[in-house]
Amino acid sequence: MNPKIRKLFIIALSLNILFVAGYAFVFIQVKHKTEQSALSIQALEESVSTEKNLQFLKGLIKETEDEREKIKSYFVDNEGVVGFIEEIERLGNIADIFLELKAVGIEGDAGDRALRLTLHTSGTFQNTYYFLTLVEHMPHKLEFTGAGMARLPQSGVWEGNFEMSVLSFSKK
Amino acid sequence: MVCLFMSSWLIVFSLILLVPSFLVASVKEESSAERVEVVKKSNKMAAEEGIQEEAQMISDEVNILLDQNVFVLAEGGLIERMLGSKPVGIHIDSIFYKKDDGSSVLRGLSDDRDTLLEFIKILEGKKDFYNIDLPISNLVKDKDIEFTIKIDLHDESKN
Repeated sequence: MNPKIRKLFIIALSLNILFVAGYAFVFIQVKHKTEQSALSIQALEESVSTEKNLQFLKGLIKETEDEREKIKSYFVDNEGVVGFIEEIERLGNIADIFLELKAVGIEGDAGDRALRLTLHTSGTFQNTYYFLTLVEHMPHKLEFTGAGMARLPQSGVWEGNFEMSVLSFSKK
Repeated sequence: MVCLFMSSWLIVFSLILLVPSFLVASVKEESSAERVEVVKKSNKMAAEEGIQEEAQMISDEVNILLDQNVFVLAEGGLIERMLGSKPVGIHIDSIFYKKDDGSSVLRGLSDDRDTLLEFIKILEGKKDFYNIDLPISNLVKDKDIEFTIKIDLHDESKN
């Protein structure tokens, strides 16, 4: 082969290889960018959906302020323990029984706390039953986890010991 | 040789045609990434405001208040179901209940054996009273019978 033609052939071949490499590079870049933007659009859609949910929640929280206040009033928090005890004592007076608070404490961990009270009562069976009914009709969520009622043989007075858990005890 | 040069030109031409696609893809990628960042920042701000935590807390509080699985002792509860329809000749002296044990104990005095058996039958017919246990020794006497009745409040057969 003529050296000049050979040289031209090598140049043409090199150019071809160079251009093919360049084309492949740009093609891969376009493909990569297209995939990336598709992923970004997907992430964007998810983020927009999350944002919409958050805005909805924000609106809902704002709209239901009165209802939430009402719900909060059904919960006893640390500051409200004394008021709650006084309310129990008031119910004892209404039911006309002798009432003594034996113990009060908080049980459970932060996620599942309950206020625990131990009460001692003394009175007629009807009045003690009335007291229990009044307590169970309080707006707070509570339950008696233990109860012991016994009639004293001489006087006929009913002595009671009750363990009570206030489930609607604020987590804060 | 000519073919090689022609193919070179063809590739260059294709490359030129690919440039607009490259530019469009670059712009698209950049703008969508920016928009994702903006929305993520907005979501982060909302999260920082504690909206999700507050919503979760409200949901938890409502669930606590709506929970129907709470034990009732007095009206409509254990005591009413135990004593609401007791026969006249049954005199109750004590009532004990412990949630952890899932049982209740009733002590008292029955005027006679038939009244006590009638009372047991009434208790056995009550919903949620699964096992009424009256020791046989309680039935030795015919009159003025001191009794102790143990009532299971959990269905042991389901365990």
